[in-house]
Amino acid sequence: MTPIDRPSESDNPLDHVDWKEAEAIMRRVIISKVGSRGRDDFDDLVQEAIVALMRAVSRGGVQTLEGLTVTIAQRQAYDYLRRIRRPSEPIPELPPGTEDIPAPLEDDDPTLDELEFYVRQILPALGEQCRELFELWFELRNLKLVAERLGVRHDLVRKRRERCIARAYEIFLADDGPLGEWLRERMGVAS
Amino acid sequence: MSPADREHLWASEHLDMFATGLMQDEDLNRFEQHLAACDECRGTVHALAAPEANRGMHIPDALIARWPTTRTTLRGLQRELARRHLATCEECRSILRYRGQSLELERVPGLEPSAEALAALDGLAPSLPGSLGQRTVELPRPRFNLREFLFGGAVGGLVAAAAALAIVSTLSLHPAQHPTPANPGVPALRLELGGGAAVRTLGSIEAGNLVRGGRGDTTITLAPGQSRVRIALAPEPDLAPETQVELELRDAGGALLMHTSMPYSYLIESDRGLAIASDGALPETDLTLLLTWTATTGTRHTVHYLVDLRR
Repeated sequence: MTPIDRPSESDNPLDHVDWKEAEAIMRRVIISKVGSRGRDDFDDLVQEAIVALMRAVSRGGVQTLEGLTVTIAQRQAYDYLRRIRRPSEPIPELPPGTEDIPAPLEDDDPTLDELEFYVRQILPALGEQCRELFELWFELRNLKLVAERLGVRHDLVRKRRERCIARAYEIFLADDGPLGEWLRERMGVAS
Repeated sequence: MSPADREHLWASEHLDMFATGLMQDEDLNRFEQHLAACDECRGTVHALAAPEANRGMHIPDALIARWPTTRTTLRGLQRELARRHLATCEECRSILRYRGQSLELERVPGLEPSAEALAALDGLAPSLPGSLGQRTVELPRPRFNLREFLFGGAVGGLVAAAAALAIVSTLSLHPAQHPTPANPGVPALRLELGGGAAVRTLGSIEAGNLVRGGRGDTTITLAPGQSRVRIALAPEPDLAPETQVELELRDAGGALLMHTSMPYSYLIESDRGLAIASDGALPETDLTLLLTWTATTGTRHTVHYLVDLRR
């Protein structure tokens, strides 16, 4: 196996990685974890893992590149197994050191990653109070903790949150694309 | 299924609303009650909040990994939000650049967000009544109970059977919300434009409804009792990719129900089709569908399809 670290004069951290080798490692890891069940999705899974590694490398601070490559590939494989598992099957256990990622929704729905991305993108349109509230929500996912962090009463946070949600609904429901369709479906509103 | 199982199922189905912070208060109380009793859901929510997951801060990796497809399928508000993020995010830009991908999300008719969505996003729209801020175009003379009307069609013999148009419009019935002056008891219809994702929800095109090479007054007859039908149209074998195709839907009285247009190059990129649907059996009326384009010679072509709903 060739080293995944590649000496380079470039300032771009992405140039310091042998991406062909990284891809080969990821492919081996993903195939070994997913097996034949993911045959049709191997290429997509590997490419998604490569993008995740590119992000990590871009941000800097990577200690052991090969270890991180394996970890990201494992996370990708286990996330995939969770996504395709039948309800009767146990949830695949993640190895220590990898982050669990919740299974996404039905196939045609936007994934949780996508939904959270889009909600974060509309935050500037909601105003400062709502932006702060949503960002704390994404960090804590617990309204009582959000209230504590803000230093205001729980019931006041709930009221503020209602106003912020109404504004977010206004934006999403004005959309005739997948985001509007998703929210209308969730609200039980006919399209 | 036990009550606890039902609650678990409900929570699983509503995890997206909880995770995005968009869950309304009543549902949030219910979700939190379930969380208190469910280890699995607590674990899931805990993972959501993990800072290492770095969720939602950037265009999702899955979209970047499939960027050639993403560029042609992001639709509506999601397209605009991704475009705005990409304009300012050096990390996403550098990864795309490194992967040899375009940094632009082109403006493609039919994929762009509605004016209403843009106005709402930019704080220009007036507050919408209640929580039903849907984009609505009042139709002039609503006469029938169509819930959805989705238009598309495979244009051109040079494309394979799966190639098709990519317009989606939806006529929705909303009783009591928009009574029409001409007929106060009749609910108004709504016309919405969208893209491919909505079509996918309809399932496969029924082979019996494929109309290829149809010209003149081709009639599309729907079977009795059908509540939904999809139709693919192939009026012209050799349309150039840049050809702009205009689409009109008119009712039996000639009133225009829908008008839109888009380039052929976009239309053939994915599997789309025309679908008409209603809550019950389709109403007894007929519609005319017109596809119009200008050939390279400058000649204007129009193809009519009569959609016969009278059985």
